[in-house]
Amino acid sequence: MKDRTIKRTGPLNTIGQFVLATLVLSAALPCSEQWEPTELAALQYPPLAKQARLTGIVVVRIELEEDGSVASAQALTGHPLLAMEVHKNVLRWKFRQVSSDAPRTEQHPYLIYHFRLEGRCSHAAACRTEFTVEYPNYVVVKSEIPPIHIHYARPQ
Amino acid sequence: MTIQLLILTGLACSSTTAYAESLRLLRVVSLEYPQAALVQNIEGDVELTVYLDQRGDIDWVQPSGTESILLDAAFRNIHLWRFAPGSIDGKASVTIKYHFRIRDQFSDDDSPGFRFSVSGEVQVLARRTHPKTEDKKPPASAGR
Repeated sequence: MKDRTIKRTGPLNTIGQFVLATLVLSAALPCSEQWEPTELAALQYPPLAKQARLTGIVVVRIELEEDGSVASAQALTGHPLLAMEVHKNVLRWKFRQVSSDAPRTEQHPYLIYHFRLEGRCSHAAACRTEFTVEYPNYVVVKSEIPPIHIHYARPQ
Repeated sequence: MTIQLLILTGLACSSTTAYAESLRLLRVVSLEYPQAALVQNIEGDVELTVYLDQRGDIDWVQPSGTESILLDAAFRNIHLWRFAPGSIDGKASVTIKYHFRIRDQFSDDDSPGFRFSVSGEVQVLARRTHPKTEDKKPPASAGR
């Protein structure tokens, strides 16, 4: 007879895993509190991503020039379509060092872009994008959801 | 799970940033060109002097500008921003200048949208959707 007992994971285990993973991730991703943006440009939610109902997180790691402009950027996570837009966007930003206690050359700030779709709009052109930067490195790109129009061909 | 962790990490970084000596920003929210102004080809500048209380919340805003549509849009926008508390006698003020511009064309490294510089300059650029009144050609029969 097959044992059909389902092993349940206790809430403490889940919380423990969550805390442990947070600590590991915090250590792995250097916090960008040494840096903050001095110039930033908003990003429009990619139309194709809106139509595909694509949401999610893109984490991008950047390398800076001496003057604070972005020399290069590398997306660590995220859908390629969103990551491509983030890459183009972040190259237009500039940063400054807030704290001087860390060696400048060892600092590679990262940004977290959170793409969200909320609410609905009547047509694609009317969909508004809201771009919010929570200093120093958390960005929310929020847009309304456009309707999907399906035109069925009439049978001949 | 991974997404939640990344958000938490980002928020943790935001909250632990040390804002000690000077007035600093905590949140910047973008602004789209007001549709009514775009239709009427209204451009202009708006200057907002923002006075903050001890906690960094907006106490009051002194606006300066001529176009009421742009003034209204900037005024609504600035209330979505968040500032870190100032350290100079517990009060601080900051001036944010909004520049609303409509262009016919944009170059490759330029694009319509919102830009902000920590010097307090905000640019809101849009592509022209309606021709200027003086650009309209007179009808062919005119003057005959």
